[in-house]
Amino acid sequence: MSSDLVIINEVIQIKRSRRNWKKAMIPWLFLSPALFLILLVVAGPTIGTLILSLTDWDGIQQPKFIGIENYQALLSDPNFFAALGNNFKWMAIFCTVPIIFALIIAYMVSKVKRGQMFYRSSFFLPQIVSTVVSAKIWAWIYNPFMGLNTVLTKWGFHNVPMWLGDPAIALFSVALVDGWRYWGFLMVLILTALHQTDKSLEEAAVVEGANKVQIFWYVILPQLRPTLMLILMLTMIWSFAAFDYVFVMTNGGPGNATELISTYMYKEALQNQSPGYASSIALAMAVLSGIIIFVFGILKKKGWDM
Amino acid sequence: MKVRKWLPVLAASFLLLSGCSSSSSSSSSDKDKVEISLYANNQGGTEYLDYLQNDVIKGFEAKHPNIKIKLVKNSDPEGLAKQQLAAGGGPDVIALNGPTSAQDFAAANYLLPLDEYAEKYKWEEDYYPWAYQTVQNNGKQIALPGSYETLVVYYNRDMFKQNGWEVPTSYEELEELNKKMADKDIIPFAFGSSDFKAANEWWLSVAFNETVGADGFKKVLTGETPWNSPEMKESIEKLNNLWTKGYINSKQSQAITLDDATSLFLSGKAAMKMEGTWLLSTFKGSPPPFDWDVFIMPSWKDGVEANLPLALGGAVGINKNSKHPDETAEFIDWMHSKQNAEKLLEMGGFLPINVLEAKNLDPHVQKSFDLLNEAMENNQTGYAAWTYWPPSAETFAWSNIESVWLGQIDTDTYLDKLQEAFEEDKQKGKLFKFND
Repeated sequence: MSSDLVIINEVIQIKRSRRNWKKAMIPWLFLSPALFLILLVVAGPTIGTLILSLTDWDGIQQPKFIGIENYQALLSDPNFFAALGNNFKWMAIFCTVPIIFALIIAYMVSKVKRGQMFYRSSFFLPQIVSTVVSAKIWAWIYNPFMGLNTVLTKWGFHNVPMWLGDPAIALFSVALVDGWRYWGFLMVLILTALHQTDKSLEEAAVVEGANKVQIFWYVILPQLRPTLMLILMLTMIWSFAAFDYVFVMTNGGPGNATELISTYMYKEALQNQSPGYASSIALAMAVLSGIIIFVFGILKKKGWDM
Repeated sequence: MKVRKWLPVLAASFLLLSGCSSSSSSSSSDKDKVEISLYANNQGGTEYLDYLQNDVIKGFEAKHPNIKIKLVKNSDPEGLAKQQLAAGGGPDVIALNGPTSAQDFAAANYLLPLDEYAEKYKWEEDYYPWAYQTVQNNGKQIALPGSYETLVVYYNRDMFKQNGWEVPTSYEELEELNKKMADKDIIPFAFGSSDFKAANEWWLSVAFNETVGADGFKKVLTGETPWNSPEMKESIEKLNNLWTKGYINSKQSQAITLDDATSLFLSGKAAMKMEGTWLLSTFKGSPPPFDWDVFIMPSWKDGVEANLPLALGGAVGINKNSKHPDETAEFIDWMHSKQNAEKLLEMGGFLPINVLEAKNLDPHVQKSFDLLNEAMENNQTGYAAWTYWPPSAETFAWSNIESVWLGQIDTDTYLDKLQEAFEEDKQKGKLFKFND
């Protein structure tokens, strides 16, 4: 009898473990198509890039394994560091100007009782214009011979800035255009977060005699922190991937004043016939983005709302 | 009632069946057809693509009903072919950017040696020897040369007449003329490169060839004279002088595109434009609203003869993996036949074919054609970047000259690094192989 019970128990346990195993497998089964796709389009090319970065491939001849030579060259490449410097400038601009601007405008729009949709749509509009189209339009606006400067000169302004021609300001001119497109998107994100804030806290603050600035700073802003942190993280990662506006408007010039890592990588891969070296730049970009994600991950573990 | 209910299904079935039958009948007729693929871009203007489609392809298909030419338009035909060739595919006709690319493709074993076809079609007799030899590798014919081109100065003749200006014959005269133009608030040279930085090499080609001379510059390209020699430094300093004085697009060439620069010339805001002979076809399609002409850039140094930097703007080869090499060879032979070359000539495109009859040519095209031929006969041709310069040195040269103009690096550093890039090319065996 007791041995029968043991057998029955064992059978039940086996059935349970099989059931648990099946239960555990089901989510993986549903995830498998997506996982397969990710392996195919992300992991595959990443491994391919890693392998290429260890070769001297010129895009046409048989690649030759050269170990870490490309990485050594990268560490002593002044053009790479100039581009990296521009990326940090770009990041500094985008982590401040459009976010602050979007925050202020979103707060103001959230207070609009009538026609809020009109403002939301209008400010979001640049986001739906094709990047290349808006970059081309702005390049015409900045054109020293037929754009904004001709109007300013007619109005009597002299020494007008050479928006895309002056190495000292060209990066900021392009960033202004990208920012013009980007802030509307941020505004919509922040506005959505604003709609989810606890209104009773604001009412309590009003009852306590807080003014509007104090309410914004001490009551609303802390509730927006998760959204703002997410925006900050995405902006920092996207800053390393910035490419389109610079490529269309200045192609990295004048000189290398607007060269970013991405445009430099493109040139090395397709113009300088060095896809092997370009792969090492691509991996450097990925590592930099990884560091940002890692830092934000640590912050989250330390209890930051994100 | 029942029939009515099933009518749409029946009709759909009928359509499906008839569709199937028609497609199967067409596929059976297509079965015998050979398809040859060719990639092309519109860098030679839409006129060039029209010519390719209407004259070359349709003409060939009319002669060979069993062959169909599939033209694929792509902004970078060579780049696309390169990717596909690496994967074992690619078009039958490989459109190459020039002799340097042809050498690279041949070294990678992507091109079919053409010697057998060269003999069959007697290509050696048809082509200018200098052009034909640029697309040979280890004694084998690897491609056919494409159009040859040079850099000339287009100028607004009306403006010159009105102001009593003369075509300059020396660097000093050129500088003086530029000053007169700038004093009148006229941009001397329209030039923009923000969308195509490689255009900077047009100026570099002119500066080196006109200051050092064609023979002297050939010594630089073969490694006899270094790129950072005093003569080469003088070339860059002279170019820098023109740029920093605002004579080349008011120091804003880096901020505007090639098309913007052409607009400045066409609108009369600029008096001259230094560009390749490919611009002739653009001006033929949409002529400037004033009387214009071309002249050869004068010599930039006493004792150096003015010359025309010569280049091959392309080449065509046959994919080694092509399933129809015979038909493809027949097609490229037709592409460069006398008949098609003459049509291209009317548009301002110069194929290096012997005994072209230049009939009823546009006077500007005729003049440029004559200038080029005269220069070739008198050995007054120089070496343009996109044909004769090795790849790393070429890319470094055009991508960094702006930094010299803008004062970000000095001439010595620029030339030292250019020499380093050249040494790298030399080490990789990528120098142009001159065939004396």
